[in-house]
Amino acid sequence: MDSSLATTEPFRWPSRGSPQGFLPLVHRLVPWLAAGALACCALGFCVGLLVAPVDARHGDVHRIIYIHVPATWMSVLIFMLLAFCAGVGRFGNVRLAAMMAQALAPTGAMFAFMALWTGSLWGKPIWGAWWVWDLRLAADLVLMALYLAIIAVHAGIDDARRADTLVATIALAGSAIVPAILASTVLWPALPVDPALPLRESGGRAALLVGLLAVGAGFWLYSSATALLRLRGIILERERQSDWVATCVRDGR
Amino acid sequence: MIGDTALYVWGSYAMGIALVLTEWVLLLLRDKAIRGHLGWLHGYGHPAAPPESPAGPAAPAEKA
Repeated sequence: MDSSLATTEPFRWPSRGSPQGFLPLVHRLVPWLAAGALACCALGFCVGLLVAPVDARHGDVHRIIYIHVPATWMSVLIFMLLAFCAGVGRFGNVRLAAMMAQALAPTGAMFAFMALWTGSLWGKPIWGAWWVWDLRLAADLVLMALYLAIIAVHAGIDDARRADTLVATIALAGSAIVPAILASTVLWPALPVDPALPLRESGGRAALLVGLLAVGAGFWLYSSATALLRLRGIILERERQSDWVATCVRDGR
Repeated sequence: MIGDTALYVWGSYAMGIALVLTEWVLLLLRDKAIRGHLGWLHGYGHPAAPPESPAGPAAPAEKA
């Protein structure tokens, strides 16, 4: 009876949207993404540390901008992507999207921590304090707490579908913090990231643009590589009882 | 760059690079651990598993 059922079931090609069809793509993309990330970050860091001129007001401390700002960009961007994926996974019932949301959280938390820490290292010589309770910093702190909450939910709940539902709720509710972070750069004048900073020196403008974009691209490629690599592990863990996972493990894929 | 300024700037970059490298290494180790666990789960490559005989698996013992 079982064999007759198996033969009458229609054959389906594995698509990119299915976890099974996604694995070969991960295997192929990750080395290229990692290499691109290394090249872009090396270029951006060289520009920031060696090429960019000394800022007239902040001096050499200004060079922290080349790691602080891209890290902040990434922490916000990854959270927006995470919330989108979690929402698609929750309301569209797409398993791969929910898995991607889980895969993005640790990298986002790492960039949020990097943004906070480099911000403190920048704030100390400029403000004379490691931490100031303003809107921007508090919003960054809340963002990092949201990342940690999402990681904790996945670590603490064994049922992956229940964890995905809860993560979607946290991510969608928490995405309200993103406009506050974006608006605070303009609304809060005491920030180390002065919007007029790049415009003061025309010579430094090109270096600033190239450096920020290169590091930003490098961080984005790195985030993509880590998210895909982590996604592969999540897929294999969640589908561990499947026959196709056994085949993958046997073949070393 | 000298003094505290150098400390702040180089500290930022060193911490950023260290964070990224740590996450990457931990991710690769986790990937390897998952594959090892799955290999054990599906009966491939577990170090404690006895080598398979060329004649195939042994027949189950007959009941008395």
